[in-house]
Amino acid sequence: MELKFGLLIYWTHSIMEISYTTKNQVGHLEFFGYNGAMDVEHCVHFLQTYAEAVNDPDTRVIVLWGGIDFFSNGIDLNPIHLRYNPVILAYKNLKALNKVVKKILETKNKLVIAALRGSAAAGGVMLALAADLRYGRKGIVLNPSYVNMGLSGSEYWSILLPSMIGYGLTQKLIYEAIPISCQQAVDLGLIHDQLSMEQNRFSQEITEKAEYFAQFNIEARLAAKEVLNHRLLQGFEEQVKLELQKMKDCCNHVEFQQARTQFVEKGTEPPQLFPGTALEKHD
Amino acid sequence: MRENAHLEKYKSAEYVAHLSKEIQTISAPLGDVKLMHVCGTHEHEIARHGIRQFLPQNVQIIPGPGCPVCICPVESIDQAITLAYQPKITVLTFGDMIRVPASHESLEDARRNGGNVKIVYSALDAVKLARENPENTFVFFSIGFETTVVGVAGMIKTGIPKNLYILIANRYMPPVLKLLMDVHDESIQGFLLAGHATTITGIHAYDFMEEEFELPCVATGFEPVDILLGILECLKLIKNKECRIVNAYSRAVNEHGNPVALQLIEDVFERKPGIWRGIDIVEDSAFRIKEEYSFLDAEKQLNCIPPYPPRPHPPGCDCHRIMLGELLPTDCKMFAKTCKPSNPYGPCMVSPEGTCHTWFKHGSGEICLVDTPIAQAI
Repeated sequence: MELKFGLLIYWTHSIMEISYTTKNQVGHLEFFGYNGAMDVEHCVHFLQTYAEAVNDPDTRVIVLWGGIDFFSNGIDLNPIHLRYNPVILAYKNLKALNKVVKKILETKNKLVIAALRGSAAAGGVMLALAADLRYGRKGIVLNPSYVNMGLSGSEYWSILLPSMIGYGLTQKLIYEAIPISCQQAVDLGLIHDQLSMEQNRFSQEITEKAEYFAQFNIEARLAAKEVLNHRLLQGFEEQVKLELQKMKDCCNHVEFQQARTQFVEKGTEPPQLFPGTALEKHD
Repeated sequence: MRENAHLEKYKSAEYVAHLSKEIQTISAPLGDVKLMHVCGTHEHEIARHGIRQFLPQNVQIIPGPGCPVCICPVESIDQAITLAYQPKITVLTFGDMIRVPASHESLEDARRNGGNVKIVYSALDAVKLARENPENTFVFFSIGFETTVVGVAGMIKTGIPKNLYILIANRYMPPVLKLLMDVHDESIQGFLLAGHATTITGIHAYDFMEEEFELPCVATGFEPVDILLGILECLKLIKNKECRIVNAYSRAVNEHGNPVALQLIEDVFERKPGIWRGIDIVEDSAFRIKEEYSFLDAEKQLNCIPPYPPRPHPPGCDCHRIMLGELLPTDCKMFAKTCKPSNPYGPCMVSPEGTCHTWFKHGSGEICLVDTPIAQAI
C-alpha cells in the first residue's frame, strides 16, 4: 500500500487524524475525530485531503472510512459549548461541514463509497449519505435527526433524506428523532448493504467491492452517477440557505443551549418518547 | 452654529435629492443589495435624518456592532463596579456608560448604593479631577474605538497624575468585520466604514476586506450628504464588480490615517483577543496597556476582580443579534415594551448610539417627509 500523506492535527479539545492512502485505483480516506466530532479545522483539512483524492488521476473510487468507533457524529459540540458565544462557532462549524458534504455530492470523476465501521449521527449521517454507495458494519446505529440537540438540521438533510427514503419517512425520522439500526437503515434505503460485524472482515469486504468497481466499467458507473445526481443537485442552493437560516435561529434558541449543556456536561438524559423501540426490532 | 456653517452644504436638500436619484438609478439593475455600517453615529444619523426614506426598496442598510457602549463587555463593567465600591477609589467614565446593565447592577446602581462613580466628558477631565484631589485614587474607565483610545494614549504619553489609573475596555474595529463575514455568509455586499475611526487608522486597515473577502468598503462621513455619498460609492463598486476600499470622506480621512495618532496608539497599547458583549471573543480587537505603562493599568495595580462570576447574556435579550445585524430592533420581543430607554434591559437601549435606543427615539429612519425641505426638493 502506498502512503500518500497523513495529517495529525492537535486542537484544543480533540485529536483528529486524517490519512489518505491508495491501492489498486482506490483511494482510502480515514478521518478520526474524538467521539466522531468534526470541528472547523477538521472539516477544512478533510476538504484539503479530499481534494487531493479527487485530483488523483490514479484513483477511480474513493472510500470514506470515517473513524473506527464512530463514522462521524457531525459538528464538535465541546469547543462550541466552551465558547463565549457558542452560536458563532456552531454556525461556522455547520457551514464547514456543509462544504464537506457539498464537495462529496459534487464529485463527478470518482465513485464515492461510505464505509460505516462505526455509528453516525446528525451531520455525520448526511456526510455518509452524500456518498454514492453506503455500507454499514452490522451493529452500528444511525441517528439522522438533529432535533434531540435542539437543531433543525443542515448538511443537505432536507434534500438527501426525502430523495432517498421519501417525504413521509423523512418526517418520521426527523420529527420522532429515534436512532435506527443498520438493518433498519438498509430497509429504508439509507444504507445499501449491511456487511460483516467483525472490523477486519468488514474492511476487507469494502476494499474488495471498491477495487471491483474501480476495475470494471467505472466509466459507465460514473456516467450513470452524473445522470442520477443531475436532478438532485439542481436548484438546491435555496434549500440549503433555508436549512442554514433555520439552523442559525435554532442555535440562538434556549433548546440548543439546554441540549448542548446536557450533552457536553453529561447531565440528566431527557425523557425518551419511545425508549429503545427502534433498535429492538432488528437486534 | 456659525462654527458649523461649513457643514450646511452636507445637509443640503438639493444634494440629497440628487444623490438619492443617482442611487435609485445605479441600484435598479443590481437586485437586492445589503450594506452594513459599523458605527453607532451612522445609525443615529441615518434614523434622525430619515436617510432610509431616500433609498430604493432593494437597498438595505443594516446596523452592525458600532456602538462602543453596547459592545463593552459585562466583565469590564463588573470590574469598574468592583473598583467603585472600594474606599477612596472613584471611577470616572462617560455619561452613556453608567446606565448599562452588567452582571448584577449598573454603575449608576453602584453609585446609588454607595459606590463612587463620576461622569467625565473626556480623558482630560479625568486628569484634572485627579490633580485637584491628590488624596483620592481615580480610575478612568475607558471605552470606545480607535477614536477614543488615541486620546487615552496621548494622555498617558504626556504623563498623568500618580493617583489616576486606567481601566481599558477599548476595542479595535477592523477585526470584527471578519466575524461579521462569517455570520452573514455572502449576504452582505459592502460595508460603510465609520468616518471618525478611519480618520485614525486610514482606509488601509481594511485592506483585508479586499484581499480576503473581495468586498467593497467605503469610509463614510456623518451628514446626510456624506452618508448617501458613501452608499452611492459602495453601489458603484458593486455595480463595477470592484472590491476596493474607497474614501468617501476625504475632507476628514487621510488614506494612511493619522500618523501621529497611530504612533501614540502603537507606543502605549498592544492588542489581544477581546470580548464584544454578547457577540464573541474577537481576535486582535482589544487594546491592552503595554508593560511599559503597566504602573497605571487598573487591572494590574488595583483589585478589580468582582466577587461573582459574570452573568451570561440575559435570556430573551436580542441585543447581540441586533449588533450582529441579524435582527432589527423591531424583531426583539422586548423592544419598546419591557425594554425602553427609561428602563433598558439590554445594552443597545442605553446609549444614544445604541441601535435600539435610536430606533425607539427616531424610528428606523423611514419617516414621513411631508413638508420638509428635502421632501420638497425630491
